[in-house]
Amino acid sequence: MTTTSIIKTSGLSYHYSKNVQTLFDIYLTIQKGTIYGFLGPNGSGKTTTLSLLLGLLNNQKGDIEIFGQHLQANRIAILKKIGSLIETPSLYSHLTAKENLEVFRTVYGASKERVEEVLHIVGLEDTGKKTVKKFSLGMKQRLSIALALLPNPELLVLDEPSNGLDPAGIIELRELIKKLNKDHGMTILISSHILSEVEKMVSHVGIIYKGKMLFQGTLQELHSFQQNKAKLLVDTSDNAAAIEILKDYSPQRSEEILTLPFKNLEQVSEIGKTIMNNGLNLYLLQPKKQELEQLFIELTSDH
Amino acid sequence: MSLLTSLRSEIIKTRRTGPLYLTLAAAAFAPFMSMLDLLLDGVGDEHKKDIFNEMLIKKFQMTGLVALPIFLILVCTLLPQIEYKNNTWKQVLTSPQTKGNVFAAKFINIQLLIGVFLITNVLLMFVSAVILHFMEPSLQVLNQPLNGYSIIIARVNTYVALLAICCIQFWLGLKFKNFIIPIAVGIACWFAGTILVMQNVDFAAYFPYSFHAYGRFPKYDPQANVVGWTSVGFAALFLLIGFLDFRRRGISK
Repeated sequence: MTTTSIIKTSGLSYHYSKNVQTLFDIYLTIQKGTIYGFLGPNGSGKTTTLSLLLGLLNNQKGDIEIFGQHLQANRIAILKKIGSLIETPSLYSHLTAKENLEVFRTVYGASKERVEEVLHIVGLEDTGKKTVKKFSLGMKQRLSIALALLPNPELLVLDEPSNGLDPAGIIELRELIKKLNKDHGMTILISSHILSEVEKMVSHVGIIYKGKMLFQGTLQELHSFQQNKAKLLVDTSDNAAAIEILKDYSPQRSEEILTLPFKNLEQVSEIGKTIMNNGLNLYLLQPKKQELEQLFIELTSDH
Repeated sequence: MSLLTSLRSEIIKTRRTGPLYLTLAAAAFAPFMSMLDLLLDGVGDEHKKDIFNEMLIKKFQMTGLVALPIFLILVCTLLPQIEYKNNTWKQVLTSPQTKGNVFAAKFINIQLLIGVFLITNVLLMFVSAVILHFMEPSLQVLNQPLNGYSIIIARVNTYVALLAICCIQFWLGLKFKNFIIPIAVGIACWFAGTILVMQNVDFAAYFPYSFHAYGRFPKYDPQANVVGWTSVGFAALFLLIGFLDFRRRGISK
């Protein structure tokens, strides 16, 4: 294992019932200091994976290492350094914001000042004696984040943290996550089913679908993967002849036009010249760059 | 130290909750009813001589037969429900506490509430005695000799006899998300157990929900020790079952 890996799972599999396998052989690697976007549609296995990482579910198969230690043998020591928010807010509705943090303050060995600090970070320092049941969903979500920040964690695990937040709240959350990563060096694992929501803040991406990892790498690698999936639309006076001329580019006929993969605009120009040099009239030469969101949808629907 | 930390966490959670208010209300029930009874019906001649001890011992036996078992069934079920109701099990189980500490802290918290019940009950009974002393000066209630030993023994015996119910209900309260099931099971068994003792059925000596009723009838006094130890045995067994069940469980989606 590399010294900078905060989380490393190998061959992680899980089933809730005997006949229904939820996770298949998950290899997850998260490096220190990164913001890792764990993406997948609802029901793809994100929460199950996160629950296994936090010890909420008993590990059935595979291995989990966090901070270089095996989770099962060092659960308490590992959890001391993790802040988490799993799905919906987990708060005591009959208590105030401060009391909710006070419930876990000594468990995490945090100071009283830290309680004030995290309330200030999420902007809930003025809620006074108002109990959580009177909070809006956005306030509850922010308090849950304050709770996750209470131990000043090295690793922050956030499962769909923007659920229930309005657009302004989502932007605020994004800025907060970036700040925590940049200023406090926290490694952040954030799950979402919406790529565009996390695209602007993550450095690494893992895509899971139907319990299988489809992609894992840096955001740049995903962009390059996206580039490889980019298509050029071509229409000529004789498409059958064009297929023969462009056979090195593996063109495909789709209805009345041709589609072929391309890497860059120089290549587009080269393809155009090749067609015209062979005496064909060129009617359409349109690079169609695939949006990341479209790529995500395709990735999670092709399998 | 870590158990104390977990216990502190549990005590904070109990603030402003039903179980805490229930404890105070249930503890006040018997003194209030007793006061009403004495004020409306007066004190019978046969009770006048030792009314102070009767209030604190015999009337507590009635509490041990009805109010305390019902309170226990409710509180043992409702306290673990705080986590289900607020969807907070996952927060508790992802915090750096062992499952053993979480389990023990919750159980001790219930014992503390039982302690609050017993202390509040005896204090309010004292208040009733003081009120009676001034309303019926001829009784000289506060000048009557008080049998402190019997007052304590009555409470210790009742507590020990109820330990088995406490552990069974605690296990059920942790196990079921739907609190109706453990409460219904508890109340039905308490009712059946009380009837078994009243009907003098032998099986009652092995039925945990009957043990509380033995203290109410002087004819069973010789069996008090055996009932007490049986209750402790059942308590240990169900506490162990409850812990093993709690430890093996994950949080389902």
